Amino acid sequence: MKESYIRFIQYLLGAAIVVLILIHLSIFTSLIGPGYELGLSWETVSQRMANPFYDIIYTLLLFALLTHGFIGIRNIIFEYTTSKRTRVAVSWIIWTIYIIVLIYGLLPIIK
Amino acid sequence: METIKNVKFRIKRWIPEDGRFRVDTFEVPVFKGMTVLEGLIYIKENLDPSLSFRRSCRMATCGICGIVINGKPMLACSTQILHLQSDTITLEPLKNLPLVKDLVVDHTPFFEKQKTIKPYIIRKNDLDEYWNPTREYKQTPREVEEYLQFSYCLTCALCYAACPTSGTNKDYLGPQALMNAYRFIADNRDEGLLLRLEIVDSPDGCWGCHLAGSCSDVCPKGVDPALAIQILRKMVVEKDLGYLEERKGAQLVPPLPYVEGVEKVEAPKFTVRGAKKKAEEIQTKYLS
Ligand code: SF4
Ligand code: SF4
Repeated sequence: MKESYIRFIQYLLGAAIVVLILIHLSIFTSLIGPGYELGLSWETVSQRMANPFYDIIYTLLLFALLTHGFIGIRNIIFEYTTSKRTRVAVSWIIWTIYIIVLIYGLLPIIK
Repeated sequence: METIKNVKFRIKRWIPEDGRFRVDTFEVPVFKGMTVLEGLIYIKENLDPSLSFRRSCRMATCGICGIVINGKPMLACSTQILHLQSDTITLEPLKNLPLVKDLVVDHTPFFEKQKTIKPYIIRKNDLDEYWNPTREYKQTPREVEEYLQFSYCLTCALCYAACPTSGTNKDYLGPQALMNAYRFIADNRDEGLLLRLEIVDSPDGCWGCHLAGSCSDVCPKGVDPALAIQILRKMVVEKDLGYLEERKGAQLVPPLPYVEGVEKVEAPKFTVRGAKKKAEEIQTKYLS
């Protein structure tokens, strides 16, 4: 994939994260949620996870954070190696770990 | 000239035979307006003739006397010693470039990177005019403004020496080459927009920049390479989104009316032997 596509996706996701994080924070604070302690209690969390709206929000947040973060890690590693072959290998490793972590993160949301 | 005070020059010299640095200190009598370069010339003429450094024009035009003065890359010829407000000044060779001797570095990697972005006007159509110019291309004052600031570059490599990314990634094109790519893109005579955007769109091109801004901070001509790099990024994305297309380069100005008795002025000849052939080769290669 062209470098500019990857960076553009990273910028877009960065902007999306700002919005999603604000929603995430307001969910368990008294802004729209039940307050910090109650908002993190087992009952409230399990109720929330049964609501498709929150499922969508958390899926989006997980996807945005992971993709943005993994592109960032890839960029940092790329600065330490200029060999084309190593960069291809790094990309494969990074995206494999990304898929595993994404599936692992989706499990509690799907279940 | 009247000596105002003595200033210590602590010079970090690269000793190629030993493969290491040695620090030598010299005491220099300083007069009002004296530059660091004049201090170095004083040392060479009076204290240590073996000291090596580069200089040519002595008026911030050739850009070859760049060194690190008190930790910051600067031009030795345009830095006055008294302005540094210190009784001891430290001098080092420019960073991020291969060392040659004492304060002398090898600028080859810097110029090689500049070459990769094709630092010349690219024309695709009127090639006859390109090689045998008869008139100039039309540019309004506003069109000149678009690239003027970026054309002030001296190729002094101070920005390159100050750039942390150039220090850690040897393949990073560096602030000057990237800025120069934008300088030609912004020139309305040029038709190489897409080609140059292709070159800079890489992790070692405009995306490698961390926007630390040290390049713009040290530039003695106020060129602002960091700004040019951000504009390049925007242009690359705009091109991907289909907002940016190759433009048609500026057209020739209309011929001047023929005036009886006035001789036609010929275009200047190529002064470097083989330059025309080389330039034609580059152009043919690009067009093919
Ligand atoms: S802004 Fe970019 S090019 Fe300039 S010094 Fe920082 S990393 Fe280097
Ligand atoms: S951009 Fe400025 S610092 Fe960099 S080479 Fe040109 S004149 Fe020197």
